[in-house]
Amino acid sequence: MARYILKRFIYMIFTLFTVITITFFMMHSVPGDPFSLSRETPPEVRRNLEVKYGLDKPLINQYFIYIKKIISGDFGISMKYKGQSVIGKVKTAMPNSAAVGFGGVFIGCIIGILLGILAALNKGRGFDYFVIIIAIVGVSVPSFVIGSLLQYFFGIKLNLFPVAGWNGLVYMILPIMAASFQNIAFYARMLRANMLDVINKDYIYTAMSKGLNNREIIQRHVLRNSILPLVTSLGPMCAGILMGNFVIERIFNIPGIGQAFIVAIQNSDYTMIMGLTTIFSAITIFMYFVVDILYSFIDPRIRIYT
Amino acid sequence: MDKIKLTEDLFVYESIKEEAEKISRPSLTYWQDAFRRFKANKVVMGAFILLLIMVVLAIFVPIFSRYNYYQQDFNCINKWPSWEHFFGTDDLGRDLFVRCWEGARVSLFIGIMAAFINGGLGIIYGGLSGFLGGTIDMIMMRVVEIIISIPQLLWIILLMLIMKPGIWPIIIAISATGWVQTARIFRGQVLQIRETEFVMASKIFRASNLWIIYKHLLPNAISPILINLTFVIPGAIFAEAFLSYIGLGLPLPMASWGNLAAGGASVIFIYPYQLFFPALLISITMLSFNIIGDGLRDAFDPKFRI
Amino acid sequence: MDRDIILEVKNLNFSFTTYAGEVKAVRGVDFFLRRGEVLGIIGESGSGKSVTAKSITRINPMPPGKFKEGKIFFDGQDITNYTKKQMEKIRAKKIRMIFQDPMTSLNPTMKIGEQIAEGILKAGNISKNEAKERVIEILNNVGFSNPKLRYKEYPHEYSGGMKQRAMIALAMSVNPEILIADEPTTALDVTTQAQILKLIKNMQRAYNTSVIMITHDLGVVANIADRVIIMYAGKILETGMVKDIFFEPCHPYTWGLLQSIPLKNSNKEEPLKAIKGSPPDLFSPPLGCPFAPRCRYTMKVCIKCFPYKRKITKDHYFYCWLYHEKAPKIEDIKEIRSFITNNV
Repeated sequence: MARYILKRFIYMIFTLFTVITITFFMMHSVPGDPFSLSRETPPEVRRNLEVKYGLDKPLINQYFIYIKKIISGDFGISMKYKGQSVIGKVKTAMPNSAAVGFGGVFIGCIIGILLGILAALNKGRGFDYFVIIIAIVGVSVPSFVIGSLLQYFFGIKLNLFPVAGWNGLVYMILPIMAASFQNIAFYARMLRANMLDVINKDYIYTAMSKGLNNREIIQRHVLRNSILPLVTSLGPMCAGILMGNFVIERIFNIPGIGQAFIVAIQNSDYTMIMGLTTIFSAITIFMYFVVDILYSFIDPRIRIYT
Repeated sequence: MDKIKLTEDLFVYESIKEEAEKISRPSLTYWQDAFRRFKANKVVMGAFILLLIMVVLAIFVPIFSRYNYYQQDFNCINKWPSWEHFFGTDDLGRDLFVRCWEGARVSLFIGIMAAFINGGLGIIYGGLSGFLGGTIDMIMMRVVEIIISIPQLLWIILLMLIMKPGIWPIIIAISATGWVQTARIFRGQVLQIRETEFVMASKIFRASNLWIIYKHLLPNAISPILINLTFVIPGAIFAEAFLSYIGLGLPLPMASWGNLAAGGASVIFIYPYQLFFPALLISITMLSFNIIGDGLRDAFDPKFRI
Repeated sequence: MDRDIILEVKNLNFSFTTYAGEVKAVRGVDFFLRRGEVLGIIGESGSGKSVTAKSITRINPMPPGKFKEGKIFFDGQDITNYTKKQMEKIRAKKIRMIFQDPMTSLNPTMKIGEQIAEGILKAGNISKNEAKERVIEILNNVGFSNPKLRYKEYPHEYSGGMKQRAMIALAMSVNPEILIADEPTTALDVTTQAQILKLIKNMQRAYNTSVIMITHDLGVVANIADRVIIMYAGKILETGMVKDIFFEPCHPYTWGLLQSIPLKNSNKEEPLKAIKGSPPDLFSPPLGCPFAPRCRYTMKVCIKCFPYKRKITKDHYFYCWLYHEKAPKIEDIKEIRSFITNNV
């Protein structure tokens, strides 16, 4: 077991490393350089800036310097906002993204699972169709549309919640609703499919032949086997939580990581873009790692063999 | 059981041997059966027809319309839908109806091309990996894992930063990492089928590899890939819309559903119709593709055959 | 009412509704089961034997299945129209079933011991600890050497044979009156088959359970059954005590079955005697005898009308027109029978 964990861990580091390298070289192949986009800078100032940011050195040297800095936790300073360190920005922005992200996944998960279970139990009847429609709509209608619609109806027409901004709990409601919609759709559909699959399995016949009633069969046999596969989807979900949903943050003007990223792109703030990308990837990779390990604990079939 | 008169002449030998081997139910090939089931599903057929209608409109509306998609008219700025302009006009007086269907061409083109490239690359990569096996397979899969460590949307954004905006850059950016999913699915199929008994049986009969691929591999592997691709298209449309939203989309005056929706979203509180129509079209298209994908999945699944 | 009879099935008719129409899987089946006996039901795939068995405890999926007609009597009681709750009680305590594929018949995420205990707890007023002890006891009885350890394990840690033994333990743990075994050995290798059969025999003797053993393997029947029913295309063609069937088979289908067993001292060049053809499609089952297309002795009447019952003894009867006074004499019977007796 420990060997499995160690193996996955080394793996994770290796992947991370490769990703950082790729991102680095990709960023440096973007046409133009950061300074040509701001107003006309005199060549000497330019030269100084280049030296300051180390852009005059050969690429390989820049690369190794960057790696060294990252290991010590220094992701650099924003090129646009003087004095704003990348890490600093992440620290302030992350909690906001996480709040919406967690809210969205949490609520989406719970409601989605409930709907999925009820749909499977009422297969073919009205409620089932209702859930299927929600599932498909949730996947088809883009998040910015849903976000905008929520803003329009609940914010303006009904005037229930603030339309945008970030200043207290009540501002979180609409964004979380928007973020959870897709999750509800995803989980409802997955649970429904899993349950229908499990219900037709042989061991359900065995359970029936023991004289168990429907409630017992569903509770003890169907549910557990239906929910288990969900754990594999947790990885990407969790990564999504922390990273913030770009679109939602944009619409609701939430100062989260997603927004920081978009802003950085629009400002061609390369240090920020690089730093954020690296952090995003690191979180994603780390989450996959955690979920992998968790899954091997939960599913008894894997536990023994790893 | 009716009592019949047991006359002497009945006890005479009579042979009906030809009947013995006849299997009464008309046997359908895999495809015929799947097709039949697909057709029977009314909702899916409805979605299919809807898509066809959209394609037809996308082709013909820009040809027959009075207006050009880039034609500006400063006398009709930001007009609500009317008989003159079915979908209204935007802030430069351009007719939104024509722009929407012009955008349909663009978005659908992007989606379908992305699906093709996605599918092609995926099948080749996954096929090679699964077929060759061994260390090559391992390395190829490690590469895949690294690619998915960076969330796809992030990849798309980064790639768009490197390339100049345009239809083909968007298509490339979307397919550049999308093929990974297809590759995995196909590789899984290849591995599975390699080890099946009917392939071994074919080998015993000295069937050539090409025959095996044609008769066994393709029919089995194609269905999950086909299903996957029907979900790729809406994903591509969404990605394009998303890119427009953050400013990396197609430049105006080109029209795509993405930049139309993005433009509309910025004025949603004043001129909601500008977002409504493109969003509606996007949603309907994504919905239809999702329904069709679901329908295909059900049609191809032999477990549902009664 | 014969006190001896614990289960009686009368005119069972069961169908499935499919996209292509109605499949009449079981068409008018009558049989009974005595206390303490082992009844074997033999048939090809699609003969309806499994559906019949599942209909007894109504485990068939309904939809798409439909119980069209018939009556089922258990221990004198008419259970045909029992409510769900009543059936659950019967399944828990009185009639248990084991299934064909041990690999998929157990819940993969639940400990084996708990799965068995579940059935015991459902059957009656017994505490959790007592149930656990009972499980360990029954695991021991079916031949596990370390039952305490086996209790805590998961299905994937067992081999196929072990899983089937666990299934038997599960079924027998409540000492049911009837055990229905649906092809329990089909998915196992030959040595394990023998072990499982022996186990079932022992359990049956120890608990005096009545067993319905469904199989397509005549060897299994010869080994374990007291009485046999031969099913084909949803109908019973012949039934009798084991020695009746093996030494005095009357129906041509039975002859075919017996003759198709590979002989131990056969000439290797001789082709195996398979019965040509395949069972009829049950969408529009034939009015007459379903075996007619494949029978060597088919007569016009066989096609028109299903044969009347002919009794030889109380337990041995069959449905065939060949023995009607108007039918031509069959010279081969003695020859066929002696062939079978000598070689099988």
